[in-house]
Amino acid sequence: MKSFLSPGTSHKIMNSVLIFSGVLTISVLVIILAFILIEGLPAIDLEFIFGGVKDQGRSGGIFPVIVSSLYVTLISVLIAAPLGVGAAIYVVEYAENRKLVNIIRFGAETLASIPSIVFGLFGFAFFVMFLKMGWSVFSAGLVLAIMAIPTIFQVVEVSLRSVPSTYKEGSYGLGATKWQTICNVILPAAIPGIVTGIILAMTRAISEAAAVMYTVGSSVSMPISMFDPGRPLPLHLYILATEGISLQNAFATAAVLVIIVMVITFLTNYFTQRYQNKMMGNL
Amino acid sequence: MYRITAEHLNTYFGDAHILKDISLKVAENTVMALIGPSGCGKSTFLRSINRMNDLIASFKLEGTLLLDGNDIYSKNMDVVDLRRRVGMVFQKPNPFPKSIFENVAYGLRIHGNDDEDYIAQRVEESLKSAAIWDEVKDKLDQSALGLSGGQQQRLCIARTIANNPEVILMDEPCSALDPISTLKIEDLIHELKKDYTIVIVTHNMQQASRVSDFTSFFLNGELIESEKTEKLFVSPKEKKTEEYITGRFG
Amino acid sequence: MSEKTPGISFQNRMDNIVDDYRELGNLAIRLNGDVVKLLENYDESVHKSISAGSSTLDIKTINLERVCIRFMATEQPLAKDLLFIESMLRVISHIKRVGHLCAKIADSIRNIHEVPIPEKILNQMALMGEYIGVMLKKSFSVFLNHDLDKARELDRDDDKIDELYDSILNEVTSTMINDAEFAPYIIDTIFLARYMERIADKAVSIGSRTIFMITLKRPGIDE
Repeated sequence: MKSFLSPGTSHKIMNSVLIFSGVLTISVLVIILAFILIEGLPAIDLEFIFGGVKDQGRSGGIFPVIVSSLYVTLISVLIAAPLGVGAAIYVVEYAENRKLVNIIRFGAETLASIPSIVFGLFGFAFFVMFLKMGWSVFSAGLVLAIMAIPTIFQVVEVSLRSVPSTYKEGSYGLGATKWQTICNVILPAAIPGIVTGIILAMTRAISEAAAVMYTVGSSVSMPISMFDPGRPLPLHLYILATEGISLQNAFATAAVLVIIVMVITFLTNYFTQRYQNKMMGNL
Repeated sequence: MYRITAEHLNTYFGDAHILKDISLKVAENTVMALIGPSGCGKSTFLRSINRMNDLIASFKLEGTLLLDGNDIYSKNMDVVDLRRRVGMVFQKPNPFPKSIFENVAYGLRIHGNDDEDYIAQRVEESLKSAAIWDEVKDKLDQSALGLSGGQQQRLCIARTIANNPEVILMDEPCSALDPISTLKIEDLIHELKKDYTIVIVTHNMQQASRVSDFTSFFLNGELIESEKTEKLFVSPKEKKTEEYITGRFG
Repeated sequence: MSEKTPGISFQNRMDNIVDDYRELGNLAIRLNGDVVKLLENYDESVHKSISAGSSTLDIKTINLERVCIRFMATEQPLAKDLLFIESMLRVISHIKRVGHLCAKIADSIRNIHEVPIPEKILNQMALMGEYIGVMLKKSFSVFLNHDLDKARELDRDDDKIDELYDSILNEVTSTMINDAEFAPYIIDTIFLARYMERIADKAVSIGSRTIFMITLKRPGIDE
């Protein structure tokens, strides 16, 4: 059958379509970022970043909010990372029962697909009420950890599986035990993937509003102990915007959140790339 | 003296009978080449010697396989120590994504050495024995993955030597290398046999005839003939061997 | 059982070598036959054709040597094939010598063809020539067919040649004593017989080489 278009023409058309998709993606990102930064940056100064919340957030700063955010994120990562990585190592290196592996994988996928507000509700019922932890950064951290585990597990599993089996053979061939091989060869080779998984989970945790809404309380005072209540950035942003307290400060808070996420992403990308280059001898 | 002795060795992967009644001896400080078509069992035999087949759950072995008279498959055999004594070089060069130094030091470290001076000395000795020291001495802290394929393979040999093994197993060590790198490895094998016993699996009959003292021909899991290399390639006793090495095999 | 063959290129090259070898053998046998004809009846054109044939044999031998060397370099034959090609190089060099000897015999015949050589000597020489023709044929096919038994026969066949040679020498000696006129042609006559005897030796050598190719032992020495 003779094609309606000549190969050259269809090539040109497809080229334009694909370039357009690429440009559109970038444009959306740039527009959102620009919008938030243009609206938010003018309100950001040292006092805003390092000051306490005053008058429900109409004035003053957001320092306790930033600290809350970092606090819950750190707690969630400290709990989720070992569990997620551990589960992935088990599934990739130890589990011999295919059925069990499939069940674990299915569980992780299901967990990842549950809406975050449901996690929040569960956290409220289980951690806050049943375990009597109360509204606290710890309760919120636990909920975020549960949400982060599947993400970390999935990304780390893929990166562990992509470690060439020849590394393993080489290590066993030299007399290494399984654990020595995992610690000294497999994990170092998989580190870029592991870090990517953890950072991905971290940026999701730090941006999460719904899941922490019912678990962290809404206190704008500085959380000191793990069991103090707090108010992470997204929650603060949500309250400022929905209760019509200050749209200006809401945008400023959003800008801070976006900047924090971007800095984390850029830094880890930079360091994992460097690590990878050194490891692969591309320096 | 025989380093490796196999007597009536049978191996299985699940129901598949891979090696059938193999009896074979490898003398100290000689090179034994294992040849035969794909799937003939030569690699399985090689991997039985350092128990690499144990990594496959369905593997089963019957008969005797001795290293210096000790049963490799006895309960008392420490697999970690066995694999130190029987080093292995793989088909594809597989240095770890670590520095050149750490690659060679790896075996020492996992066997509990922590004397850095001793490790540094062994690393240097091993790299020299593997004829790669001059090429890497100025970049020991760089990643081993930046080396060429031939250099990587010699590094893998150095990594094996660092463990001070008695036997080195080589599983088609040159099949991924260019002719010059291949020649270097073959020269190295000639040097190494002064100190080590080497068993090499190769598909390249010219290579077998160049590097080995003895050659064993495997076919369908059976050992058809094991002879001095010169004899096997000039006047093999068995018709099957003759057919295989002259290409009249089908 | 399925037919077992080496690679197509390998087999083609091997077939070509065997074909070339047959051609060399046939040429040598023809030269020997011409020599017998020339003995009966000297004809300058036959003499020339023998000389030309010997040169052709030379060139063809060298060409076949080149083919064999290329074959070894590119196909790296082993075992039976290696021994066959290596022996091929030796055998064709013997065949080349047969050609040289025939040319020399033709030259000697020219020198003495006007001399009344005693009938008895001529008959024995003709017999020798025919016998040699049989030996050559036998040796050429023995090598090609790896025929160990027939290869061993060649050594015995040579005894008959030696017998004829001795008888010719005796005859020449007695003729020389009785007939002074014959004296100037003695050397050519003796050389002629000697050359023929050496052609037979070449056939024996090919037989010995065949035995060595099969057993890797020198016949009568190592075995």
